[in-house]
Amino acid sequence: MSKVKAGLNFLRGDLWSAISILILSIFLFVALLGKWILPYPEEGSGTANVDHLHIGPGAAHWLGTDELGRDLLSRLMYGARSVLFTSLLVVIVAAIVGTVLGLMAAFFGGWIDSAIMNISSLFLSFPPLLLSLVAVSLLGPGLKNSLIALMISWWPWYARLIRNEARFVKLKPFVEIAESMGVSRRRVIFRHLLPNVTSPLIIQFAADLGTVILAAGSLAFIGLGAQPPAADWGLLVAQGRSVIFDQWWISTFAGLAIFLVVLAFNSLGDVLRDHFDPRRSK
Amino acid sequence: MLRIIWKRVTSAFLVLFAASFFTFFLSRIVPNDPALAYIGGKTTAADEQKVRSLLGLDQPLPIQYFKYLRDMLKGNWGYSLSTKQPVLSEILKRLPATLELIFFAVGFALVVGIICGIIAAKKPKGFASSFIRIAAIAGISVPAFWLGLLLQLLFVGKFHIFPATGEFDIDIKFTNPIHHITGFPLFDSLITGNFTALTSGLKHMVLPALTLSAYSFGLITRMSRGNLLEVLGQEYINVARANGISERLILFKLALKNAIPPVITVTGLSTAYLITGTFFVEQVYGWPGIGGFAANSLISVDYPAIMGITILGAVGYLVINFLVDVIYAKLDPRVKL
Amino acid sequence: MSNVLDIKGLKVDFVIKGKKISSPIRGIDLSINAGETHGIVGETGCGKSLTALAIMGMLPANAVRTGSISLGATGDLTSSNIRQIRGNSISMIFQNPHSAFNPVFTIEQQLLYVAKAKGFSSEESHALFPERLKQVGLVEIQRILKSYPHELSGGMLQRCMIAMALLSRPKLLIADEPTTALDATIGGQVLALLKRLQREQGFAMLFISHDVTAVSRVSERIAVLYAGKIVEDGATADVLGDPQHPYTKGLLGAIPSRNKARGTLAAIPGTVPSNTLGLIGCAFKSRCQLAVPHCDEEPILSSHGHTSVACWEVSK
Repeated sequence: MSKVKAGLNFLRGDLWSAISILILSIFLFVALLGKWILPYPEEGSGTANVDHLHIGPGAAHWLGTDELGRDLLSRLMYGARSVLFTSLLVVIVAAIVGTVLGLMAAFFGGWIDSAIMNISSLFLSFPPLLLSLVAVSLLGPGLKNSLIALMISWWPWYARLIRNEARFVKLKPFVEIAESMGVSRRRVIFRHLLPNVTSPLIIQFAADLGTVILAAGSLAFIGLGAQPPAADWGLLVAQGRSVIFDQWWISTFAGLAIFLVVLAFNSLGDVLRDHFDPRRSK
Repeated sequence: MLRIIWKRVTSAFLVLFAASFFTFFLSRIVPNDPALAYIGGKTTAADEQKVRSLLGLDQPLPIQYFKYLRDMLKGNWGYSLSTKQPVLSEILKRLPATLELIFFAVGFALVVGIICGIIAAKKPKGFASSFIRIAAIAGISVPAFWLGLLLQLLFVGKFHIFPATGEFDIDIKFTNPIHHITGFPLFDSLITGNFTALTSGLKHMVLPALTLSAYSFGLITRMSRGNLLEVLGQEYINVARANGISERLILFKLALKNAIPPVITVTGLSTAYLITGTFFVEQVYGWPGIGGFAANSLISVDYPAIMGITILGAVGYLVINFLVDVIYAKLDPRVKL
Repeated sequence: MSNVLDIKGLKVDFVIKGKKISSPIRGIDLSINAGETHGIVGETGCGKSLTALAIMGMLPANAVRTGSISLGATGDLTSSNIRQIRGNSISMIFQNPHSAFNPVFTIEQQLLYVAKAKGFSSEESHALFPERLKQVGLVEIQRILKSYPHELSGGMLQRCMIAMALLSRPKLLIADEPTTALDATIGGQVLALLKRLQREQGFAMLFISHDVTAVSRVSERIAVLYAGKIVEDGATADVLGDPQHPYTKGLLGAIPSRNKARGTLAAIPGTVPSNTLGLIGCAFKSRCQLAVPHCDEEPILSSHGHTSVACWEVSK
């Protein structure tokens, strides 16, 4: 009962967090169940409807129609699914690969540590997104390649983060004690190191979900990501660009969707950061 | 100091080496044939062979890579597949426009960001503080390309205040041509007293710079506010107060100098992020800089251009990080380079 | 001998939205003469540092202060005149010398800021600093002036802090645990330094510490603070040699010393009350062996023999 009260207090105390959680819930809901509640299901998945071109926001089409006459709201809802899953996929893979490598580097030390860290540093010595852009350009445009490109760029952040955190934890007495009592190496990693690095991991994860959505959207905007008739939001912004001064609603709402979702994820990351360690400097 | 520079230079070479290797490697293992891409259309087998040997593509890969490295050091960065011009000259031609854009974007973000950070730290619970915090988090969340389009929609389409694209009014070239002294158009127009061109340029600069500055503004504001709050809670601030020093001096001199160094780091970080940001912003605004060139090269898979841009990006990132470290060490005496 | 500092009935409450949430100081009367040191001892949380802040007018925003604090000829210290007085007539030195200095400025720069705030010009300051630093026993003055705090030892920094506090020749110096963070030997030197400076300059000193030994070395009079009230007050020799209040006895009994090498350390059963809100009567009664029903009435500090004691049983 007091936990519920604490939860309510928390939300009331920070209206902004409440809004973010609301946005994310809507996003999640639409992404998971949207397929069944699209106002115009076929248009959502890509079927053109040339009778309905140039319709602005109104009663029949809340957000208007796009350049092929498809209901924009349906398109956005349909695309939410791919936006969510692609960013989840990228971050999960990058996090797993990075965490494993980071833990290995922290635990084994020596040349393994140097090798992993040097390779990570090499990747990280390029401006963010540049590697992804180049990779996707050379691999060829498309959703699959853009995902691969993003994964390649993202794992070093996790490797470095986890390795530093794990090293910090490893120096703490309780790890030495465990080792001196003969606990096997694998157990030390899983039972002792891993739980202590989870909080920075979670924070980074939440924030990265937003960042990857932004990156994937940027790739799509420039033409290197998802291709038509996919409903990727970045792609929709690009499609609306040529008619922006007349049919302003296409680019505006598609981009607004990206903005709101990324905003919500970043806010979530902030809330998590405050919750897990308010003392730690940003 | 010299030793640090030497260390930086050697690690720089390592990075550039890796950059060139990465792009070279990728460009050679992908299905597209560079020779055919260069030709750009159908041709005879003989011509194809000629182009191949011209581009050195008939050599074994390691030798190709060596030649590439050697050429690069000599200043020959290959020829752009789309413009058929030397990549290096294409880049250098466009660099000033982008640098000016970045200058204004980062400058704006730094000034406004720090001011906002100070305001938000002085009264952490106030309305202004909440508003600033939301603006900051919005800044780092907003898609640059969307913001650009939105600003165009509003200020060009609706309110007709600013021009849509380009660096200057088209006719400036004829009516008030700029004498190039440094190569930086706005700066040159300033020092040569060419105020028509200057105003035209500034008008064109507003929207792109604003768009590009959003992310930096967000990061800088957040860091300024957070750091300043932390510093203001430190014991030495209390001691200063106990010794009778005025609140204004405490904030602007004693606290700020402690709070600024991480802001510099974050500025550097976001400037690096801006490098790729220009790809999108310049595309939207038709800005004649490297970003637009890069975006086009990426879309048209212009290998030499892409490799050149990657090297440039890595170099730029290195320079920025180096500058950040130097400035940080100057500001914080506890840090040794 | 005139009173430099005169505190009467000082009370401090913490208030949130009009509601009192705690009363860290529940009534303090204290006076110090020029050239004299009055010590305040007590455990953590008894309100000693808050007393210092109250005098300096640096209480947190949600604190409400009642009672009067007056400084010699200046009269009552109020929120309007405290800004002038702070740093000029009253100075304070703090516990942790390393965190009391701004890490990104040199000692000289920091001294300059303080000197300017106290009305010195740049030229006056530059002439003044070497002399003042020498007075606090520092050598290699030029090097110290150009150094950053992290380059100096705790002892040196504490001396710098003392010099900084005494720049304006204050009438009252408040020392809040100045030797707690220092090694025993260095701490001893700083105590001797403070005493010497007091003799030379004639300021009154309020010495606050939980370390009874340190307090006893510099103070002519000692007040024992418990849960926001003074429970015993008197000349140092009397309070320490022949303590009357049960708490004072317990406190002194709990101190390890060379003379008490045998036997166990006497600990006072129970803990200091964390919040005295709603407390009826003597705050110590739950831990006191002499407790009687009369203790439900708040004891008053009254003269008893050589010292003043706040205890019904003792004052009988």
